Amino acid sequence: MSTRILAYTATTSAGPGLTQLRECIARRESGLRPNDLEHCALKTWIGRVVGIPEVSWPESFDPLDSRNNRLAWLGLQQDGFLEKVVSLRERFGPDRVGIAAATSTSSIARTEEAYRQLQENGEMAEAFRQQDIHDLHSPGHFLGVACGLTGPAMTISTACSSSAKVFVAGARWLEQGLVDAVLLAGVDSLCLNILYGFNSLQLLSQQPCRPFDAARNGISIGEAAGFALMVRDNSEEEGRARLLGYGESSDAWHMSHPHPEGRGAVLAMQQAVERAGVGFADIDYINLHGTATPANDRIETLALAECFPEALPASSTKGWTGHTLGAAGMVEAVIAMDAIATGVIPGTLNCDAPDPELAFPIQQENLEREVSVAMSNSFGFGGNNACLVFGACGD
Amino acid sequence: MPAWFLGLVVTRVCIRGIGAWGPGFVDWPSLRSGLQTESWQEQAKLAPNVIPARERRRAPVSVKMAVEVLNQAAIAADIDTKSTPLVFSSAMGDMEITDWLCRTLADNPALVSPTRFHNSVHNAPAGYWSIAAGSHAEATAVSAGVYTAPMALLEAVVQVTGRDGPVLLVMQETAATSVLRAACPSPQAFAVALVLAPCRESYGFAPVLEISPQAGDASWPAGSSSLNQSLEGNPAARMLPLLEWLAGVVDQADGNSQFLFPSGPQSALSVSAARGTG
Repeated sequence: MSTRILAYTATTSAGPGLTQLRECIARRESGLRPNDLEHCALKTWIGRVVGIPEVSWPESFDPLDSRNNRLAWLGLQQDGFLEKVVSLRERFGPDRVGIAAATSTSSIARTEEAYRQLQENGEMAEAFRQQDIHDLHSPGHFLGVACGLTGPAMTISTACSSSAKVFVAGARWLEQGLVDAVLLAGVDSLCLNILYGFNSLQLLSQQPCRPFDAARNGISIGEAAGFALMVRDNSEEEGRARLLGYGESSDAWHMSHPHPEGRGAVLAMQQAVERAGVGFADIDYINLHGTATPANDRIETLALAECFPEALPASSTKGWTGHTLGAAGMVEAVIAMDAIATGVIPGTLNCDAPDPELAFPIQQENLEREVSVAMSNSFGFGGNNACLVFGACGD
Repeated sequence: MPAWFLGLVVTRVCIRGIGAWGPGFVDWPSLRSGLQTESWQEQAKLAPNVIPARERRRAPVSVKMAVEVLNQAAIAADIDTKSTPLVFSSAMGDMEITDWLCRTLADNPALVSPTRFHNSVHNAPAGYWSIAAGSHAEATAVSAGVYTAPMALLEAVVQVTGRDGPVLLVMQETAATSVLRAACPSPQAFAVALVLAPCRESYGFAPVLEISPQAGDASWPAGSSSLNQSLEGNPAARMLPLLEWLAGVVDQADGNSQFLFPSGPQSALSVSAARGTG
């Protein structure tokens, strides 16, 4: 059973909302900048969203103050998204709209700050004793408050596949009648944990990331808030796209290195097309995970070569946004859906000379072409893989 | 299969296997015995042998505990672990690691360890399980704050229904350190794993749960065992009243019982538990 996406939006370092994202894509302008995060001495490039400290919101949200929640609020304001959520809430009732949120960082930047300002007795200072901030559900909880929703709400945190998996969870809730609409979200924000963590794994590049490029040497971390609003496909509401199929798998290999043959990625892609009732040859565009680590990119092309009978436009958009981790699945689902809507296929920014060792050709330049079916890959630590297939509405 | 009844969604699943770990017990039989008799064991060492020795040494508590209880439940249920999806749940993730990372970041961030970092992802236990079991099946890791256990139960039930097959579920929380106690006052680590499956005739006397999400707030059910006090503040321990029923401690005249677990600030999960009828 396919589901229908009524609205979607993404706020990344490439700008707040779809118009800015499209412009950055069209102008081949990256949102990355040299690292200027406070307390972080690492030489790297980051995807910072502008305007987070300046976000203003109802005073009643103040107990939930964190960078992650401010970013979520900023993202909700774009593209009339919050208004759309409210209209569905009024139509179905707040208890019939669910929240499937995703994050890898949650509000941990706030926890980090708490540890920098411990009381003399070593305990957490009063200002940081906030409910629903220091756990993984911080974004899911915030969205319930911000949107006035009381249906089932949970937060998925499976590293880089998190906000692709929310589409799957939401689709099941809809199919089984638990809800009539579901707010899907991916929100991740810059924090020291992530930057120093990836740096310790030697996966962080000192330059802007270069997905699939012969000279690629690691990721650039970005923050983002992306959202989609989904209902059953037999709904009266006019949709922007349909979720035709999905696939999920585990690599069963290593915590921080993908399966060497991309076995899990292949399984996820095969499941997705099977569920969508299409063949690989029907895919018009695939947004790749393409993080710019030597391993991921090479292995991802092995998986593509195994699945796709012929070349097709296949690109990574992380050169524009950075790797937004827990929000990447959503941001890139939005980009895939928007390719269907606009007929503009983003190429791969910063891929100047594709690695000759790749097993599959990569789309470097932007392309104008009709897209009826688009795929998006998201592969996370622990070998957690998700693949989504989107189609157009109204045919 | 779900049934539509006056707009309520009611789903039946059966419990085919249980695993458990916590203060005074090392598996479901010892937890069941403790709940029945209030007699608890010496705390054993947590060393799940399905994780290879070299990995086991570096594995954090959250990983070892989850893999241990999953293995117990899987064996009890006699399922194919290579093909059974997993729902892992914890409100806070591994608090020992979070504490270590945040202290290190505050003192000397260059000392952040790669192993600790990749072990800090919320789905690390799920990742280690899939490696130990050689399973390519899908796995998720969820949190719903204080409502994590009921929401994870709901998610697992939804997955059972969706695939019409068994699903592994872990509900767990580690112990909190001094700083994070302010966020989650979990006094001791606790984990329970369930194998949930569609109800079929061949499952005999396996307990049956009827799950139904509901609007409106609810109060947490109270348990009778001392374990409810010793684990007070551990979000996963909210399921103890259900475990007490499964242990045969709480019993109504007809052998059934009804629980209403808060699943959100204004939502609840109704769980009706019944003996399998053979």
